[in-house]
Amino acid sequence: MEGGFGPIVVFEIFGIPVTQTVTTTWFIMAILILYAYVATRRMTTVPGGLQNITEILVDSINGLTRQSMGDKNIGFAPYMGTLIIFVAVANIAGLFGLRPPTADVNTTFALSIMTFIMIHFFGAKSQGTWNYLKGFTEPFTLLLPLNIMGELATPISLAFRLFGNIVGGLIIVNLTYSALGSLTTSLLGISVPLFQVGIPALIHVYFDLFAGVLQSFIFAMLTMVFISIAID
Amino acid sequence: MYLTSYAALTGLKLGLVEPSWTFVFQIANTLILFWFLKRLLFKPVTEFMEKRQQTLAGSLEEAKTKNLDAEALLAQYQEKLAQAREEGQGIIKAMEKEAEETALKIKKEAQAEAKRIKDDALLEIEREKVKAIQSLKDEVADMVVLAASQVVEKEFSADEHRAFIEKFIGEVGDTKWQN
Repeated sequence: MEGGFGPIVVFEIFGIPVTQTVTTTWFIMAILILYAYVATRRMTTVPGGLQNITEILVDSINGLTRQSMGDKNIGFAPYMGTLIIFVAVANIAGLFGLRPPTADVNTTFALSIMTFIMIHFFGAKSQGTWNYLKGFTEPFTLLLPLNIMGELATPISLAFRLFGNIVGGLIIVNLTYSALGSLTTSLLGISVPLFQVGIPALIHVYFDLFAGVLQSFIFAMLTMVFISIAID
Repeated sequence: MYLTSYAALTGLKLGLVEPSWTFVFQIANTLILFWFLKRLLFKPVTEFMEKRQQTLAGSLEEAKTKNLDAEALLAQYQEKLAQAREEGQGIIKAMEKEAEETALKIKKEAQAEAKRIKDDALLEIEREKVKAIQSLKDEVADMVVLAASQVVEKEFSADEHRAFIEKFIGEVGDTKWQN
């Protein structure tokens, strides 16, 4: 990996660089929208195949939202579902040789800033703006700066937790590939990176699949918890 | 930095932690994806499942009601059946009793009739007997008188005549004629 592990600029629109992150996201979006379209055509009362999986997916997301935010906030389920599905697929993208969009702080900050806006928007909406703002001076006014810093820390920790996990995995996987490539050359004396076959599978399973799904779940879960705390 | 020289940007590798336009793109992308998934996936599937749940609940409720109805109907029919059986038995018993009574009555009547006929017959016989005895006695007396007169015409004495008649009547008396 020459020049670090940052995303490559694929092309420009009116001088605005479009990176790998964005193109991969478009690709993921296209797949997810296509899936959503196909899965919901001709739904039958007795589900089979794709509909079964889709129903389980939607049902568990609805259940998760209901469980962590309560019945009255079930309206958040589609956003939380989008978050879980998008982040999970984005994290897993590494399995298919794509650079995960979540291995870019711009993506994770975009998501966490949206969570941040939602926390304060819905908090102010449910408690009344003045009451909500007054909440920052509790338990006493002196803690106001600390409370504000605490609130600002939320999106930063959300964004960097996801970014760190995924980019860490990306770097480790890349380093492993390089190491296995050099190892083949130095041990067997051939330039074909033979050791790269099969051996990195375990690393992929852990960093892409396990950590990826887990982090998407954690991100959505924290978003739900923060919003429901702000609403209460 | 990258806004200064356009053409040079393509193919450039950005820093690992470098704010860029990607931030704006990703917010837009997420909102677009949310919009699509909400309309194409979450809303229709959730609605579909809720509808099915309601349909199922309705069907189950209906089945339950129908079952209860059927059970009630069955109990009702069983009760009716038992009632009908009881009634039938009652009718049979009443009929049997009536038949017995009728038979008894007929028997009694027949016996009474038979007794009456027998009594009548006996009475008739008795009368006939008496009449026959009487007529025999008359006849015998006539014959006796006749015989006596014939005897008298030849060799009949007064004493012999007297004694003969007395003896004859006495013998004829009662018992001999009854056999």
